[in-house]
Amino acid sequence: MDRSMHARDVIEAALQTPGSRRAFLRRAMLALGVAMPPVSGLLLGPGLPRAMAAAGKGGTVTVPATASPTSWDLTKSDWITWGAVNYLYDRLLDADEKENLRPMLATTWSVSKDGLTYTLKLRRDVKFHDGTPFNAAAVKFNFERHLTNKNSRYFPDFEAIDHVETPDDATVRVVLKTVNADMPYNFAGWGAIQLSPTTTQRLGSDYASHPVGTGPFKFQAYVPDSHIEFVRNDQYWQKPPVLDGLRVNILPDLNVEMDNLQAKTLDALYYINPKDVDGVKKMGAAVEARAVPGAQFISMNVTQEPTSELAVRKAIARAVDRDAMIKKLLYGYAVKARAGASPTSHYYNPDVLMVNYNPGEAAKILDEAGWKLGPDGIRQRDGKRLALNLLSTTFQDWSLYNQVIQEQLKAVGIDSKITSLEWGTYLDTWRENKNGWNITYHSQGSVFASTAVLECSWQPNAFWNICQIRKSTDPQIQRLSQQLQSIADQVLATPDPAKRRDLAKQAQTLYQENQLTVWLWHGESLTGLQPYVKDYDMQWHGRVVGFTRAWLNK
Amino acid sequence: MIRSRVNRDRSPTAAGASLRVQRAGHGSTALRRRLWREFVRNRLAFVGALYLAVILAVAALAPAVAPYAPNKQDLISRLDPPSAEHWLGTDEAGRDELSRLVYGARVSLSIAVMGTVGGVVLGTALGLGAGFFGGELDNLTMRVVDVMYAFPGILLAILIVAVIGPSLFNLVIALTVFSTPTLARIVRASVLSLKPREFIEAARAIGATRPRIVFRHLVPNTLAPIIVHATLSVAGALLTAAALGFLGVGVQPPTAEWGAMLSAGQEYMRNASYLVTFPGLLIFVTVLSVNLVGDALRDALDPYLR
Repeated sequence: MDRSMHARDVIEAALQTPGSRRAFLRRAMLALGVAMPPVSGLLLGPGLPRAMAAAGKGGTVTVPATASPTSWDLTKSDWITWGAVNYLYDRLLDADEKENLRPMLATTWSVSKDGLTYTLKLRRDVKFHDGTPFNAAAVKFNFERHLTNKNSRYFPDFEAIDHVETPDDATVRVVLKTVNADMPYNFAGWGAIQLSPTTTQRLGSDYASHPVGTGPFKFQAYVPDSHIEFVRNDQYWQKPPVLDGLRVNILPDLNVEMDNLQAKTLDALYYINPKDVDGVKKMGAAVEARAVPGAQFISMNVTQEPTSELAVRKAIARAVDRDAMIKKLLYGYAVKARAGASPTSHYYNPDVLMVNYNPGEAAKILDEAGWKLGPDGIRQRDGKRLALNLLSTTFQDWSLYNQVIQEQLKAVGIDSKITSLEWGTYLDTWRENKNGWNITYHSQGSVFASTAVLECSWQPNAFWNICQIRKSTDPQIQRLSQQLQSIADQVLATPDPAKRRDLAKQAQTLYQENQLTVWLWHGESLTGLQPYVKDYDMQWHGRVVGFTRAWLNK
Repeated sequence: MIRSRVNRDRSPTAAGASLRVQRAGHGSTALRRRLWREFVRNRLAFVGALYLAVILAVAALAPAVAPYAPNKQDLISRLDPPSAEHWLGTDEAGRDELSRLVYGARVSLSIAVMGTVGGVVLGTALGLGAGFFGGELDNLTMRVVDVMYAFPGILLAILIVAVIGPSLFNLVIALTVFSTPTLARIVRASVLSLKPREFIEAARAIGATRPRIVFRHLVPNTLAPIIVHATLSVAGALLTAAALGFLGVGVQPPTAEWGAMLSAGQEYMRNASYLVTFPGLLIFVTVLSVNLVGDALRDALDPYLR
């Protein structure tokens, strides 16, 4: 206080002293120089770094998105959409880097002894961007907007909910039909973002024209396929952001994003291809690498010959040189997969069999199964060539991975023909078991490692099941499918981490023994950030950057 | 672009070219002499023709010319820059870029030529039928052609490949459909201009059958505009095939094709710019050469331009 009073005296003295314009300016600059540090210190608070105080409050961070959001209310969602719109919203619970749940809009949460009722206590000091209060009725509304919409991406997350009670404005009781031990994680997931009931009901299907949440930034403007603008929410229930705003530039081409990063018209770059890491570092940007819950694998179709045959699946698993692929194609930004759970996962188990590259063993397995090498180097049995339909797509580097897999399979006498499809068609073909595909490189991620015993959709009934197991007519495979689904159901009904780990081991072992999938690797998320962006927060295992506390040291 | 150019600008003169052939009767020696003179006079066309001859020879002799098998991978040598071992470097899977370009010439040129030949055959048949028989058949054929014109060529090709699936054969079908409408219109226009002429009337008067009139008198006299347009169509088809390959709906990996190679290389533009430079350059120079040759052919065959 004393210093700022002194500064005011200096300014007044400077202004009152007669003299030339240059002398006035010199005195004014001197006065500003003396006055600014304490003034900015008062404005920004004593807790912020000294460098930040010098740099000043405000500025706008510009981040990329490779596509326009698929939805603003997250009833459809993907990582690109979440990366573009998350600044608007808060969830009931949050999770730290180690996935420990912590309060967000709910301050406490508890579960009844029977595991069927969750009680959430809410913050009372939160308002939506439209000025309406956040309360229990709003939480009920937000659960029900998923429960009444089977097309919502989060309907499955909350399907177990029977009803939601609101005994008072700050208490919500979620009553389940069946035990779902993952439910607290669903309260921390994207399905638990809180939209303003008032605005959502008023705008209806026009919600995208002005989305309203409780988050650190408010919606300002959206030009489809061009950009989105957010401004600081000065009424934010936590400390309001330092930045004035945040801009999302929609840039579908990664090369263009790289150019923008180089020109400093982008402050961050998501999903950097490993081959570009050195280039990004040369631009002076920092690269954050984080292990992501998820797995990359060769998806094998157990309903189609010849991958319906265990010997063929086992040979494929031993014919693929994952070490070489990780080293040369991924530049080491991945770890070799054992059985679908990454080494950092609670469900990783070193006792489960790891299948290694062994072309000799692959050849032996095929020989024993009657697949003998033909004159053209391709194996045959009863006059039938060992040939696979290798489904591929033009998406990212997937075509390259499939071509490398094709060449490695050829080395052990397995022929394959690639059919490359556009991404949407590929996904339909893969999921709906069309065109008789046998194998394809695939990748799946999970939001939380804590809920994913195999880090991808291994359950037979899962929407994106990775091996078509539920559709098999082979009695042996059908039994296996029932066994796996039973384990999946038990996992959901089991809150005890140790028991869940045992169940995970059972599922992983069944997958490996029956070689339902060839686990390749667990990739890392690579994010580039300009060196002047400070105090950002790597969220969701590095897949999204939080800018609530960020500031620009420019 | 080439298709519309041909359609709007060349058709009248191409029809004129047919007159010239008719006047010359069956003087193919004179025609050859005129073509030779044109190519000697037009140096650029001569260079273009020479380049095309070389690239065709390279494509035909690919197994002898290419230093490596086109799909042979070597991950250790991935993205190696041009060197004594790999003259044009290696691609994202460690395959020799030069060998893939050589084999890619086979695929790209075959697709373009086969697509154009398909278009010539189908377009000529439709144009002859419509022009010669006239009436409802003419009306129906031309309306179908109008509908085909309503779609931009590349979109039509994408649509066809999307419906029947991506493969080399389907790509040829798409390019055939792509190049048919213009040919049909050119041939119809030529036939309509030839039909009332005296030599056709004379043939009718001496009792020549319809097939004889069509194949002995009409077809030879429409050949000049067909040749000119077909040559220029090859350039268009080459570009379209490359565009479809670039969009990922052309030939399937790992088959080497210039457009697909350009597309794959685009991802590595910052790390290995040669992966886009060489296929891009080949597409550019080949299309330019075909156009130069086509222009020279038109100059030689079109009486209005002499």
